[in-house]
Amino acid sequence: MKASAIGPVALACALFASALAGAPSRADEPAAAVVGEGEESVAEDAGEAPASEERAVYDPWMTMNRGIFAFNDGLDRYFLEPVAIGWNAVVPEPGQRGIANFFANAATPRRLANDLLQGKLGKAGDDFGRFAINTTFGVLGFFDPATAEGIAPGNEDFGQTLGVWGVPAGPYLVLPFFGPSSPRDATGLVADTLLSPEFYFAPWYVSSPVTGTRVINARSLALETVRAERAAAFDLYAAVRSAYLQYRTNLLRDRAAEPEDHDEDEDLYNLEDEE
Amino acid sequence: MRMRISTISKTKSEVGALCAALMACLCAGAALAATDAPPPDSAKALIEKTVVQVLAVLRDDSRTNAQRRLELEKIAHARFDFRTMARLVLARDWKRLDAAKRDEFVDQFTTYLANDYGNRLERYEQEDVQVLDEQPKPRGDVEVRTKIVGGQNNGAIVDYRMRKGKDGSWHIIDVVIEGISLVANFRDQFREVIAHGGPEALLQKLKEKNAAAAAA
Repeated sequence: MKASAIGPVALACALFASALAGAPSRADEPAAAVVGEGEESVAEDAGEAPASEERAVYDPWMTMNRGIFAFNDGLDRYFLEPVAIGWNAVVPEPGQRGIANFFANAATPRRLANDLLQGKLGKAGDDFGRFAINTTFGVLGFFDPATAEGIAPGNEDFGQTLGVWGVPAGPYLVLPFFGPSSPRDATGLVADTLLSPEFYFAPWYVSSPVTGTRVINARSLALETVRAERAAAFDLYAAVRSAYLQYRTNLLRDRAAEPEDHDEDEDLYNLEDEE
Repeated sequence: MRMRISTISKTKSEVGALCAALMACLCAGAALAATDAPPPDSAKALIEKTVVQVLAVLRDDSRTNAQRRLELEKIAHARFDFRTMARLVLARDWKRLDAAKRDEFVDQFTTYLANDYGNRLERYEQEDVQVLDEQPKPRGDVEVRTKIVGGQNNGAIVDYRMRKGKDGSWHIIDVVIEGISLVANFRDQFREVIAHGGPEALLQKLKEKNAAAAAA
């Protein structure tokens, strides 16, 4: 069950989000899990459970969100996915990966800006190094020698920057075209666009096809994943929401750096004894 | 790594230990194999062993997908504690089911997971898995961190949350991929159904989904 079988679950959800979004997967983060909806917050008989309220999902706009989610889903099924299937038939997978690398590399200056805005100098150094190496030895970023050299790709964005600055995520929010987000991440999306040099220099008739290529290419790489996720999810909307919120929380927390702070999640593993 | 495939001894019996010791002498990778031979495996050793087993099945081209699936289900049943997973997913709603319904829920949930993941097998593309380290967690749990190497998800971090049973052996109770917990994801998916119809409604819906999958 290891890698192959299980891996997709979550990654898929995350991909699903960004693929639909087409956006460089921006946004959000965290602490979104606070309020319960339709959850009687019973601490009940349970043994050790501290009065902590059940971890829950903050989605007061669910009716609207579900509507937009359905719209995005339809857009994907009837437009984006068919186009991506065509793309997939024409462009061999190594080519697709190269293109994805190119776009990831082109987004590095923006990521670097966010590293700096968050005061993460080490990450800034990594991203700078990656950009230098991949742009030159990686032939404008189509190859990714930096990863092979052990410099992991960064993932900072302005939604996370806002989180680091103490701005709360706000409720879960599904954006048309862009997919899962939050007020903070949606703001971050706009800010990241403003942080992108091409936004100022490329005229629309250049930037639109470029963006289209990026989105279709990303969607093409996610074909299998999304298909599996659609078929498997018990409730696709809830699955994507859960994955997105957890994923963003995790990014903001910079997981690897501080492994011992998962306490707010510990409630998840509390078995109230009996049986 | 690969040579330990035959070190599958999951019992801590002396026979198992002996076999493992023998293996250790036989293979070039003696040092590796010897470390996880005798007493109950540590959580990390268990994951390492499982990774080797699973990759061996996935890479065996002589088997059909259906055969692989069966093999993997066998491994999964040995390694996962599906009952605990089901309880964690239901959280306090677990108590609202009587004993028979609980058993039924565990069965249905396990079947659901098996269908779900079984369907993803064709997508295996020769990724490798590195077992990195283990971290102690509250309640005596342990989290074993692994990393996927190669393929589209290259570099993805997968954590296995493990708990020790009464017999002293470790079992997986959650899989956390890039920070996304399987248990939490299902809990979040089930929440609304439970809020509207209680755990019985959920059980009913799971049965329907499983029946539909079986028919397909």
